[in-house]
Amino acid sequence: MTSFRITEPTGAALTFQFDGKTYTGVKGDTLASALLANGVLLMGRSFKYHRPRGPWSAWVDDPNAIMSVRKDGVELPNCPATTTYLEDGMEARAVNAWPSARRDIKGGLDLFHRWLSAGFYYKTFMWPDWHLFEPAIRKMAGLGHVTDEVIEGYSADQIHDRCDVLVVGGGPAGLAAARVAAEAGQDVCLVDDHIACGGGARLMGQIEEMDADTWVAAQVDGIKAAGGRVLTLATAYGVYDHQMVAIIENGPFGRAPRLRRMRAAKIILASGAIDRPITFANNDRPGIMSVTGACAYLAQHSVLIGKTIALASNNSFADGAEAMLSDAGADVIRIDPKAGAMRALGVKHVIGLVQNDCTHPVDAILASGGQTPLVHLWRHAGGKLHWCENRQAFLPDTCPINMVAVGAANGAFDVDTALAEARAAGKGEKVKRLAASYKLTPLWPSPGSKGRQWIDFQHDVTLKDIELAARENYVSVEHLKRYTTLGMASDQGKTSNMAGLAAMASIQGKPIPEVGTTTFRPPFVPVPIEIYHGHHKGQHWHAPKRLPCETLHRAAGAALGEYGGWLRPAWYGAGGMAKRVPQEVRMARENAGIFDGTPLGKIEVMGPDAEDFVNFIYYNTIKTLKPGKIRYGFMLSEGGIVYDDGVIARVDQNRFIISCSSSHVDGVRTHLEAWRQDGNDPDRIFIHDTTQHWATITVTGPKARDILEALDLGVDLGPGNLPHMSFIETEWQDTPLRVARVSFSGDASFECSIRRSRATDLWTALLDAGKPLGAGPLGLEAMAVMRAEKGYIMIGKDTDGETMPHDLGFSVPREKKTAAFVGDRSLHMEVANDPARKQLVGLRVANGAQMLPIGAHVVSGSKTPRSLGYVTSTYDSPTLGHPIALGLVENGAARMGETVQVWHLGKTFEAVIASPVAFDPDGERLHA
Amino acid sequence: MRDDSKRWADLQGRSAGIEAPGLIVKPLELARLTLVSSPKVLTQTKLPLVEWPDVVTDAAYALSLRRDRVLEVNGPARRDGWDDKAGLAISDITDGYVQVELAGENALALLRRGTEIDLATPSRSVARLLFGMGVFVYRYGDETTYRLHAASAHGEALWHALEDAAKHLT
Repeated sequence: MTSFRITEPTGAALTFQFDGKTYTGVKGDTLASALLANGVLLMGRSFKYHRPRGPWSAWVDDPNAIMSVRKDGVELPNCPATTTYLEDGMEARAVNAWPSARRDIKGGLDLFHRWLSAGFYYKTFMWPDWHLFEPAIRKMAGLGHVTDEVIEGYSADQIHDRCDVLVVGGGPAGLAAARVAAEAGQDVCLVDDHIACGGGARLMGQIEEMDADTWVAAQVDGIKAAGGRVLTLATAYGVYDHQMVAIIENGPFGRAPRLRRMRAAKIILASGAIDRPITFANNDRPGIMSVTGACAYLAQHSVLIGKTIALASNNSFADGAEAMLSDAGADVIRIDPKAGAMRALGVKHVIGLVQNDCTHPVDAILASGGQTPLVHLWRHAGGKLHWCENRQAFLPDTCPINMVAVGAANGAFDVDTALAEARAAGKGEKVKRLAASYKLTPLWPSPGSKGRQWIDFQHDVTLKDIELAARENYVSVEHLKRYTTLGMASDQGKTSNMAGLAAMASIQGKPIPEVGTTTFRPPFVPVPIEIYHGHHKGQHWHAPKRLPCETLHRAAGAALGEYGGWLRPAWYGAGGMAKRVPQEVRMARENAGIFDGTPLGKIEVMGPDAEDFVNFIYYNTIKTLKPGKIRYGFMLSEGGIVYDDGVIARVDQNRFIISCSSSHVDGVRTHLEAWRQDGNDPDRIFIHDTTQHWATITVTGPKARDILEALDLGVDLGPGNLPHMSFIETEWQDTPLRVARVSFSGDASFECSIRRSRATDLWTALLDAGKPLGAGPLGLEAMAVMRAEKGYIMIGKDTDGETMPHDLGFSVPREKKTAAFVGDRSLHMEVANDPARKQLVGLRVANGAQMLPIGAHVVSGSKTPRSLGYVTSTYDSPTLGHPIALGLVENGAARMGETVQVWHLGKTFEAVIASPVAFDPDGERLHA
Repeated sequence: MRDDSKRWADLQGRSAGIEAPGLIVKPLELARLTLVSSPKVLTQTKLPLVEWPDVVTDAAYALSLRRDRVLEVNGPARRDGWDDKAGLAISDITDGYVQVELAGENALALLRRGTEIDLATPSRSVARLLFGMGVFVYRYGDETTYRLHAASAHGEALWHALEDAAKHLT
């Protein structure tokens, strides 16, 4: 005889498949209950040995019945059969089994169990290389497989929420606490992971002299009437900082769950308790089930686990279970698990239980080694536990946040004491742990006993594995966990951790609390990764900032790329980068290029102390900068490392504009704010980041001034009135326009900044003015080549995490600046004076030689070469007609003219160390 | 560098707005935005000061951003720079932000998809992170209409985020 439904089901039948065979169930069934109702006990195979397995329980604590489920073209792996509600048309398949759980072809692996104990892989597959064996081993073990099908519309909702009181668990204790709190005027939210509230009430005939179902309905109605919320199919799976509880809300199969981030002023934990397995020989066989699980199948689904049932329990709950099962027609044989070693008979289905040479022919064994409170969320919150000798369990002790545990989660296993605790918690009173009528005899694994006794069902960890770990000195529970993988499966050791640590305690001769527990971490139940990313996926994963002229760039054939968080034109026109970039460089050098520099920083520093502040922030002296002038400078970290380079313009006595690197604006703003508020008077310095308000279009090249003059700005743009490193404020078409003579190309350049809404007009006007002069749009890649020709650096490309300003040839402020500045002290430490510091250099190759590879190492010429530095930028210069490169090389400034070897992926090149400036070294074009 | 142009659609026109049950989202144009900073700016400003969850009814108002900064909306024209006499740092930032108006009974539910926000928790500042982007959010006109200001360069991303989140409203 096997499991069956004791009453004729009412309502429409739901048809489903398991391992290719068709069955029927009813609404309200889980996959597990429906299979049990059809007499199917064997629902899966174990992780390592491929042992046949049936469900241990009826809810989240089941480690065995895991399935891939498909419906309407949607397939989800690793669905627990005990918590997946049945839907018509489901096709379930046991994971880790082929062709079916019943006839798994790898079932024979169990014969080799002697050689597959804990640590087997670590010891056996070390030579010659673990990676040779890994693919095959991983294929043999494991759970379900993710299909490569895209599930259309599978997009998880995320919502932030808050409440005064969050009650976790809709059993009697949770319902009572929530109702009292709601009726006291609190904003209450109760979450329960089942389709309806009830919890342990489902196993009770009456509560407070009412029929249990009626009592539950009355509490739910009371909570709602008082304004409280009740969320079902919702699992609180983690507690995070500042009392934020993560709740996953499940819907119909195939619809992505919702993540609710609940900020609760108070959390009442009423998560209940689960049965502990008893550790005995072959305790993993299908048909061996927790007492509570079997009762739940009977109470909720009218499914009886067997006709002749052995009931092995060490606690007083067994009496009620026996009565319940007997009333349903089962023959129940009470077994005292302390009376002698037990051994289950049968392979794919239990057929008997042996104890003290007495064989009991049974078709199910129900086991309970005591109640384990579900304290996972308590521990997520940092709550302490203490060991209760009477209950033989870890119970909640103190908690650093406003969380209180009630009911079975707090060790109150009797409904009356649970309700008293819960109502006190709901009222906000202190919860006192009351004495309970629950009785048990301590029952833990017996190391050294015979037979294969399972501790962790899902990861196939046996008592012998624990003993082996102890012999090899993995005695800390955290080491034990990692050596044996105890508790590391998707069930997170709900049923195995207590048995594992008790076994280790016994082996070491220590009390259980001295061995302690491993760390409880979220999630309490497996959750799909889908719920975490929310909107941040695909092109919205880290959405780039967008230019106001993007549509015009696209119309001009721009190839767009993500540069420093902005979507920017890399080059324009067909033919690819290799063709277009040199053309753009030549165009800009011969005529002019028009470049969208909108992302450049425009951070204003204002106030009576603005001058002192920027002088402090910059490595260079800024105090002497005159209004209308611009200066190039570095910002350093406190460690003296170059953090940003850029220019600063002085508008008047109390106003500066910092134009930092395009990709660094957010960072520089934060850097400035940090220093403004630390060591400076924040009431006399103000920082406004106006980067988003201004668009910047740069015109660069020998004909740049001619193009600007076509705009008819009414100001003298000549070098006499507007020399390099100066700016003017004027108007174009009644709109304020700032024109700055700053160059990143090495040619005369005019950076024109205008409010963002006029950017497209200015871009179009400049292109129109430039076209007759042979000018056109210039992409970022061409600009990168031009600045390298001139020896201008890009921070983060031509510098690294050790580069100081004197490594780049800027040593005067370090030697002479008397005012304090950020990073000053670090520039005088021993490391800053190391003669072997890497310094910026140019690297020239012989005529006709190929371009140096980026990242190639400059190496010493000794027999055992070592890296002296590396190539940071390298281009085939269209302007000069030969390759150029920049690099950071040890003591590079003193090596000018030295021929060095450059090594890259087995190839060696030759280069000569030279000045970084390869183009217009005297600056004639720059100052034109 | 590769050509990633096709990974992102071109900037979209937003005149159509977003409609979902209990929600209408529309872009909004404002005449002037001015950043004003000073140690006493919260008491100095002559415009109605807006904090969370205030409901603004005036045409011109000042959003409280932090203890020493407001964003004047439709306020008086001011000259950029340091006003030594009044002790104010002033910057025109009109084009620095895009505005969106969310109206309807589900407007708050939409915002809660992207940020931790509720009417029961007041704040001296209207600044928030919404879908990971810095925004200013407050109520305008009535209790179920909200205005958002987001950095202009993030306007496209914000709109996509609102569209995606609105699909979850029922």
